[in-house]
Amino acid sequence: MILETQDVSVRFGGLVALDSISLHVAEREVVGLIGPNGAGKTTLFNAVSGIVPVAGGTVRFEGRDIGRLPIHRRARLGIGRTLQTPTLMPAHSVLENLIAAAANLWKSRIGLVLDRAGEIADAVGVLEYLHTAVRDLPAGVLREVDIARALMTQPKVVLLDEPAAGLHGAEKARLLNLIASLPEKFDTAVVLIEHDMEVVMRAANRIFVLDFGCMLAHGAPEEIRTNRSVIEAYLGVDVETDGPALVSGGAEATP
Amino acid sequence: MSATRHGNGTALAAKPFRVTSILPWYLGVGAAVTALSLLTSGYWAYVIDTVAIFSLVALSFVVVSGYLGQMSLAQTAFMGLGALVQARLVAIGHLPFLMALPITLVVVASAAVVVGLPAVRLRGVNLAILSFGFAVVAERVIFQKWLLSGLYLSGIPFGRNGLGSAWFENEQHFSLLVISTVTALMVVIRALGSSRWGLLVYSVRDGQATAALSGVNPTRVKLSAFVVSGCLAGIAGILYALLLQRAGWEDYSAFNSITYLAMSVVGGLLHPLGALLGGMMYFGVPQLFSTVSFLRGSQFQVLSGLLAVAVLVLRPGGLASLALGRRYELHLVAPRRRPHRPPLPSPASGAARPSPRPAGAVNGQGRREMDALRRSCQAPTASALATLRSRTGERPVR
Repeated sequence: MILETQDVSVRFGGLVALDSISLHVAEREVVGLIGPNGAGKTTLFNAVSGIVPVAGGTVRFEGRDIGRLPIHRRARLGIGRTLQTPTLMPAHSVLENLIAAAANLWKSRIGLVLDRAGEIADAVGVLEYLHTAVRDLPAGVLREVDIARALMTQPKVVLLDEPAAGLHGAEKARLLNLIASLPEKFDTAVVLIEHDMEVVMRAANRIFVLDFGCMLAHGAPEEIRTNRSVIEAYLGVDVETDGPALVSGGAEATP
Repeated sequence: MSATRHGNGTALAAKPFRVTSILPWYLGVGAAVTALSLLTSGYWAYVIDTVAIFSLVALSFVVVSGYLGQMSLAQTAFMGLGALVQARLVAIGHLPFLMALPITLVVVASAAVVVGLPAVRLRGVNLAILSFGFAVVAERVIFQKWLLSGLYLSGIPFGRNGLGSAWFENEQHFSLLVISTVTALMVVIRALGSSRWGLLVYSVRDGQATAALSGVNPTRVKLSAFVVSGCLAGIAGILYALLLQRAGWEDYSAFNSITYLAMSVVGGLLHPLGALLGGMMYFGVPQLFSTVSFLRGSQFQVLSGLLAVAVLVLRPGGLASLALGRRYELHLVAPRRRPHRPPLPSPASGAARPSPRPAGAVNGQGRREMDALRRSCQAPTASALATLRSRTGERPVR
């Protein structure tokens, strides 16, 4: 196991945001994390990357308890992370943003950093934008650049927080291909938060479902699609927002 | 395809920063100011010295407020600490000037860490008030009660003989020292602004969470910027005390911080040129106008206030942005002059971006640019990746 959370709980005052969540990610695996709005998906990412403190349970990375490490130490160990809204240096070029994110290479010569930035930009497909200021990037490219940014530390697992939100068809397809190729190209596992069921079902090997801070179900995409409690959680609580996506996804799969 | 999208094709729009490319400008301005100070004497030489010294104060704001984006009103405390500690060590302790200087800078740097630590959590107005509180405490307690107790409450006499050489007793020689020190520090700060350290500072400024998630330690980056800024202010304080030949607490009163901040903002916070323009605007231009009979001092103050408002409304980047335009933000590798915009989707293709990209063509162009960049950075071109793998023992990027 590369990443493992064991009975992780997070509280905000009296509110239990996460209630003993256990999740495990193997090397080079793509794992989906789904759930209605407010289910605690981003909070789980925050607990893993160290942005919010864990009230109970342990977070293990490569078997080591990292629950007390600060954010940047976890990042250097090999936990990459993107945010829902990428906040990069807007006035600086993509290349400069990548250089700044190469924390592991801080003491190396600039040539090595440039090499890595070039390779990652090439693999992610943003090489042509290398010298463009981030504020001039189209939305889809910005997401790809943020993923490239997260890859600069050579992570062993990347946490992608709704990378496809707000993207349209062609951009979304490109991003999906990129995500699917990450384990092979960069030797990393991927945990993916995504609202679009189609995206998750196609990209992920396994899916974890959160609801109201609890783990509702986990399993292969087909199991999740037909899982009674998952369908109820989506249809019963959030029919307008999330229901139709699941239904359409499910309808395609079940004959 | 590639040719149309990249316009001029072969030319590499992006260039890595080189100190040598800015040196002529900075040395030229330094030489011009030196010439000016050699031509003048008495009052005007004094005015030129104050402009240089307060440009250095503004430069300390460039680092902490411009590069790092934090509000610090503790700069007078750093100036005063520099001046008073150095004066005590040299004038009372009879230490050689250059031996006392490192000790003074360590004291100032420690104070900068004390002010910088809350900045790890606080921002904006809260940090401004906290740092201002530190400046007040420094003025009332550290300066008046500790460093200037008893005999020296009115200030420590700090003549230029403290510099260790009779050569500096000459007014023009002292000007030369001030101007060359300020010019050198301007070059250093300009180069730092385009260094990898600078990039880390901007990344913390523009998104602390993202920076931390990329493995950057925001605490260390912030403290380092505070220490650099504090040392600049400390050196300015020492020079100012030498100029006045006296180190007293009134010259480093906490309330002056607000004027200095205003000076830095009007000049421009993101570039050393802004520091120079701010210093000229607040410590040179008023003196110039005071010789004009039809503008009295108070009238000029109203005028300069209006001018400051006008600058900030019309050009929020300060006077420096008027002169520099898009080069105002400092870069390690300059972005393209004209932003590269992908072509709009043709109605026939239906896709927003050309979905199967002309990979060979576009990436070929990008690769050529990377190669050129690598060459200009004097990095190994061929075996860099192999070296990287063997050196760090890290897993390969495929």
